[in-house]
Amino acid sequence: MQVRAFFTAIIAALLLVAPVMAQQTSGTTENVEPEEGITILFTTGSSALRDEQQSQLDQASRLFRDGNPVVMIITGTADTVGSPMANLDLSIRRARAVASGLVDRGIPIERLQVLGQGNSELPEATQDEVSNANNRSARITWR
Amino acid sequence: MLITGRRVLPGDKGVAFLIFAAAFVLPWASWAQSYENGQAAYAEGDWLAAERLWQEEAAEGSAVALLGMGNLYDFGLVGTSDPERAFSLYLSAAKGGLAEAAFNVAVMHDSGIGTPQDLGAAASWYSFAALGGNARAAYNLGQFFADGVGVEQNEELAAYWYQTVAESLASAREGFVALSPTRTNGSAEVSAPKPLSMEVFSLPSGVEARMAWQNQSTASDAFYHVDLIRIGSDGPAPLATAQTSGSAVAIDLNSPEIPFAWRVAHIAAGNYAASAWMTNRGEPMTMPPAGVVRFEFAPDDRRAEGLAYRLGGAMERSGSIVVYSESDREMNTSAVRYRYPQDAAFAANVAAFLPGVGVAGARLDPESDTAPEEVHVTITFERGDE
Repeated sequence: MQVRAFFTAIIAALLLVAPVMAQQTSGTTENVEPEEGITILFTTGSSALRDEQQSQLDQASRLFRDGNPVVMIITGTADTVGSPMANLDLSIRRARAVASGLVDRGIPIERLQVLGQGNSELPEATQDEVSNANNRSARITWR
Repeated sequence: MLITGRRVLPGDKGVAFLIFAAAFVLPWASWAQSYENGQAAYAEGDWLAAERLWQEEAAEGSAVALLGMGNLYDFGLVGTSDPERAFSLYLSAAKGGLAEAAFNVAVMHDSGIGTPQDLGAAASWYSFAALGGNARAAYNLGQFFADGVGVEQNEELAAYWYQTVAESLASAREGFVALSPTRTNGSAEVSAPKPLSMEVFSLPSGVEARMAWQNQSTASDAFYHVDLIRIGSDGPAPLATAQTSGSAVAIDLNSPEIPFAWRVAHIAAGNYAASAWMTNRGEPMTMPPAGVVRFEFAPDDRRAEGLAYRLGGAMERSGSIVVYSESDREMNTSAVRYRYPQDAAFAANVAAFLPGVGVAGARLDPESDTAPEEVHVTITFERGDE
């Protein structure tokens, strides 16, 4: 657990920010989208998007109106099976796969922020070495 | 504004003024010169300045400003989000020719944000935005046709729209490839398209009508032929035509004031099926034209010309659109030709009026450039008769 805590601290500091060029906002954006976000679940050890997940990306991109200054945040996680380092890497790949899918749909790359959280701040907190489908995820939210 | 300074330091007007200038006027002047326009302020995230500048630009008719103000109210950047107001602004900007605004109108119809959800309207506006060059609109429209959302499922039309943006959007390429093995390469049936809607757009380059439709299937090697006719007290007259393999088309208009009607025909394998005529008000035409008769005669053949106008006048009174043209090409004999078998009866009726041709004289000519529901009449008199 110490190793995991160590990596969590590093992750918090280094949270991968693949192209982030969020504009400095001086106004409120709380009411940007009523949606709670979209969660995409992956199979164990995989960052590949399946057909039904492509549909989820279609849904996410359809909501994003042109000219929107708001950043879409894609947060990848992995369940606690395996080493924390490998899971961090996997969570990044999951988030990147989703970001890439959104760019493929015409979402401007500067509107995307990619975060890999590894095993930290999981949707469902578990002990080590617990396989949990909800933790093998990438979540799209708006800020 | 200066009154405020006097209140601050009533005993020393000069100092008060300087303080006021330092505190208010100079930053204000600096702000006023900071941004070239609302777009520049928006790019810097200065929403309030963007709003102020865009309001001025919108008053001068800027579609870009209308779109920008739509963004401000849509995303709650200058207060509480007001999607209904944003929708109205996007609509105005879209009619001013901005494809991005047309896309946002489509998305709001699609999601039910700012306007009641209406997937048919979303399909129309994705079509209009795609015609304006918006890639995401074409991709979304491809999805609509692929999945039968808002329109009748039609994989040929889905493939068409995916293909239009396959170079710029990887997902459109994948969508096209995914369709290829499953689509039937068109059905054998030539079904009549169903108009979705028409909008008139005032672009900087001129006025344009954009029409969108759906179809339950698209036949192999098919295309769509759109006819636009002027309507009014003078009777109908041809205005323009256009052809496409897709489900939407843009046609230049000379004026936004012209009342007109349009219809679209699905053409394949020498057959066609046409939609009903729709007016520019979006209503079915109550007295649709009974076909088009195109007369052709030699420039020096006055008898042929006279006969054409006499026959044409009668046909106009019976509801046909009549067009006259002179031609230098060799015409050995009078003839009535039509391109599609569906027009055989119409052609026979026209031929019945023509001396020397008669009911049985109308000829099917698949090679002619005649449009659906159109008959081509050449009239000539032998030299000895002149």
